Amino acid sequence: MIRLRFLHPGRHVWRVWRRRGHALEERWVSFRGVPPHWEKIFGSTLDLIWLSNTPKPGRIQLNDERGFISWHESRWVTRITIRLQGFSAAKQSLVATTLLKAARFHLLEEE
Amino acid sequence: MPTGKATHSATISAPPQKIYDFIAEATRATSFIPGLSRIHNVQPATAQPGQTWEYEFDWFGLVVSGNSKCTRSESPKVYEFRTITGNPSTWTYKIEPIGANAQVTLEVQYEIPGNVVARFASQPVFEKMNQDRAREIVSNLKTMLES
Repeated sequence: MIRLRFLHPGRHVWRVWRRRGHALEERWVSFRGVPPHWEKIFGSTLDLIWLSNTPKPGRIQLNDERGFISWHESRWVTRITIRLQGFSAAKQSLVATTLLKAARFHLLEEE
Repeated sequence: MPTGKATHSATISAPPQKIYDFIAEATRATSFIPGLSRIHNVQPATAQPGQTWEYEFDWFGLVVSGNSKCTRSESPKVYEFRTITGNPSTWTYKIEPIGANAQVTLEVQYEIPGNVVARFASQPVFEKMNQDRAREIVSNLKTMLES
């Protein structure tokens, strides 16, 4: 059976800022209770789309100087910054959107 | 119920096996299908006829969820699945070698839901939306695999 919903519980991660130059930079905020395992969420997503990466505390560095994704936790909010470079503008957008989907929807499986 | 078909092809500068491997991992589809929010509960893990998964699709703010089933997996030539809830549709990716690269064709056959057409769009508009979506998916595949 198909299910329809007007509001998805995954919609608690929001893109709040975006800048496009030779790199794509975005900032997101996530309103949550317990911080999810961001390293696992973003690392597994980058692996899935064949982007090699190196996890570090509070951030994941894309190899070959392709950018990074970092996160900063406060009590109720996580502030996430991504920077993607060295790809076409179209691929930067697709990768950013894929990571945003992962942030929104992997959360559901961790809660 | 009337049916429709959306088709789009493009040459992708990548070997057929690489393209097939990218497409045939069900969870990867969120990276190149616009509006597809989540794929989960994929069973079994590897692509094969009978493999099933659940999907969530964001259609202009409305979340549509349902199930799909792989119906063909002929590496590296054909990958096909059907949505088995909601309006039935069959998605077929065909990969044909052109030298070291490949031509990828996506064909989506679907039933045209009368209620959706009546509420949101005329049938030609609905068909154009699906054709545009097929073009966007193939274009995104090309982007993800080439650049």
